[in-house]
Amino acid sequence: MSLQNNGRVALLFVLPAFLFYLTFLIVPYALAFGVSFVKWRGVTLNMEYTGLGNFAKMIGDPFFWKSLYNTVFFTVLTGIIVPCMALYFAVAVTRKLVAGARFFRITFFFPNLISQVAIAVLWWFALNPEFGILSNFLRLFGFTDLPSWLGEPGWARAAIVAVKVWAAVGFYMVLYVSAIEGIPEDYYDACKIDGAGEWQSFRHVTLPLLSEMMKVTGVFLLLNGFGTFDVVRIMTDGGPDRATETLATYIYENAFELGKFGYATTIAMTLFLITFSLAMLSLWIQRRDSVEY
Amino acid sequence: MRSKIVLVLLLVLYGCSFFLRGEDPKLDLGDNVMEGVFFQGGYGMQWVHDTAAEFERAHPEITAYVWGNPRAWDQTRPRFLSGNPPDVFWGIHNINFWVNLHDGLVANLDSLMEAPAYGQEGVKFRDTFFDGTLEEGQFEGHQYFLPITYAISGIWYNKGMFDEHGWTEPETWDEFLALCETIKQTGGGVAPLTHQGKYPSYFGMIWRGLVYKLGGEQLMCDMDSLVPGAWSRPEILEACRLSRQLYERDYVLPGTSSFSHTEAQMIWIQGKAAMIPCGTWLASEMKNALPEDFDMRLMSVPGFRDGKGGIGAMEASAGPAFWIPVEAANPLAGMEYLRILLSRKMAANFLSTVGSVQPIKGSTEGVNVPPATQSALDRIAAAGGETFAFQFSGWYLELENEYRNALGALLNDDITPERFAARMEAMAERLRQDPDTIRFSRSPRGDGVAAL
Repeated sequence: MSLQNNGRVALLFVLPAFLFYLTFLIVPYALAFGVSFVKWRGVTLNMEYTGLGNFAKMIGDPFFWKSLYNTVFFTVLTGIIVPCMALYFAVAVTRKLVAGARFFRITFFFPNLISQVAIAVLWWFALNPEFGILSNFLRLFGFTDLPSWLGEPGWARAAIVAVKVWAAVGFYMVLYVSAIEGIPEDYYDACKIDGAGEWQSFRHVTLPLLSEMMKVTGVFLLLNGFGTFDVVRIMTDGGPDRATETLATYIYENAFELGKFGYATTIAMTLFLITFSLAMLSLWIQRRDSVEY
Repeated sequence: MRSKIVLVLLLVLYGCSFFLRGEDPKLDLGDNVMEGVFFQGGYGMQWVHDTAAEFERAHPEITAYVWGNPRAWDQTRPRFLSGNPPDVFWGIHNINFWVNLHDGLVANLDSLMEAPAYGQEGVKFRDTFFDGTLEEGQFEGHQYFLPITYAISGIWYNKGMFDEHGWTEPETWDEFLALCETIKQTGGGVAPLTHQGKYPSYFGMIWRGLVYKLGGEQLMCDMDSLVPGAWSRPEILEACRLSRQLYERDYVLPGTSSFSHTEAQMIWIQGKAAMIPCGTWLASEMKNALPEDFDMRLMSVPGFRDGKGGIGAMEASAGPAFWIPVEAANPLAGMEYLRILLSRKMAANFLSTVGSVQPIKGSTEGVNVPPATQSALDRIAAAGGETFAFQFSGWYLELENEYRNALGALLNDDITPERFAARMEAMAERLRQDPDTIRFSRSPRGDGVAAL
């Protein structure tokens, strides 16, 4: 078969997937891109072209900036805390630093089997200042003047971060565990022969060889952080006073509560551009140095 | 071989899709169908089905197909987009009635208003409504929306607890503060007040009461009409200070700021707080949690002897609810369903099954009105019929959102009353400058019931 024929056959194989991709991804995104330049209420087909009007409005909208700030806040905090904790647990269970490592592996992964909505509802109950488990637990130790966890801006933000971390750590731990288990045992043996302790093995063997996985998880965390919606929507509804409002919840408010689909799509496109650029940047950094063993 | 099995399985699945695609129940009902879609919430759906049965008795040739969902608007929106809406509609979440009207989705109901009332000789449909309740659904003198209930709001109290301790309803704000102090001192750990802190608009029932009683009808109308400076008048600042005072004196149950509506209401029913702001839907919303012997009464937000609004005036609203989509397949049948739904007979049925009053004259006669609802009606009678209803929440959703957020922040002591006023003024200004915002205005009628 000639090279040209090979190309045609390949095209034939790619075509169904491409058509699927075109219909359900590229076309909707292109349409959304178009909607970001119009005023549209979403209940009639009446659209009014506004040029860059929606973007200008967005730049002058203080709630957009507050939502963006909060989104970055949640992304950065979870992006730092989750990998640190996940790595700590992964090393602890793979290097058998704790008894019952298998039990912890399953337990930590458990939140991933529950939907984000269920997790948010669960924590919403747990954080109720009157009958929630957290307040009642603290009262056992004599704490009486307890805050309204989800009702005060600082605590509400901390609660969102805590729940996101709780829900995510297990997943990233499993990723790190699989990566650590892929590191040849010889390296650790060599370390031992050289007289290195557990910390030095971690620093000079585990950590460098995990760098690939850490970059991948970094992209995951970035996308996850910028998409923060369900936990906030259920636990605080963006409040109090927009202290936990994220771009995703603000998009929802504009589209479905205020009926401003055009403006909401403008923010959604901006969010898409931010996450896309950051993801590309991460992948580019990742490509520059890879470790082989 | 394996790939062939997979292929056959896929083909079988594809074949199944023709038979298992889900049925549209409306298709089986024939051609002459009236479809109604309703918000399914605290009022349940019995009254909708009862009306459908009455409709079919009156018009045996038409089938009434009615259904409900808590997210009725979100679920029906694609049908509006494709030009296939139901014949009569009521949705509450995420809906902006006035923008829908502006977008040409809502049918004019003037002809329905002139029709004879269902089951009443010689009375026009329009004349069966409580005075002043139709205006909330009008725009430029035309009727577009009809109300579902005559919702009366104020502060509910646990009557059993009040009787046990000998506490009495306060009339003035000073008496209210004294009562709160007594409850705090002698209530055995019961907090004087809780509210639905996650949704600060519930506390707004107290705040709006204070504003009306301090500033009167003129201020209310100016706030609704976005008159420059209305949202930062001294009465607004005073209402904010008085609201904060409840927190500063520890009259509000700790943790309240994060309670959802059902949590706060449950906590109140459990007797951890003596009072809670809410509307007359409270009993039906909490009916599954209410102990049989639980006795609740509504009081007016306490007022001021030198205030511009009546000391016992009640917040009562018959806000927009039902409407007929312009593109409905059978709009006349939809209107007929509304004529029957809001008849004296069905309004009485609504009161006896749901426990809430519809704004239909005579619908409370001969019906066993629940004591809680009766207490609300009694409060209006005691105030000489003086009621008030702010409109900004329904007219300007952005203003309502900012109001909720700023009120929550004020109660949390995150912002000062001055900052609250400044934020509300800034949002009002933003709406005044926004060419897309539909502007409304209202002026005082002078007899306590504001005309739109």
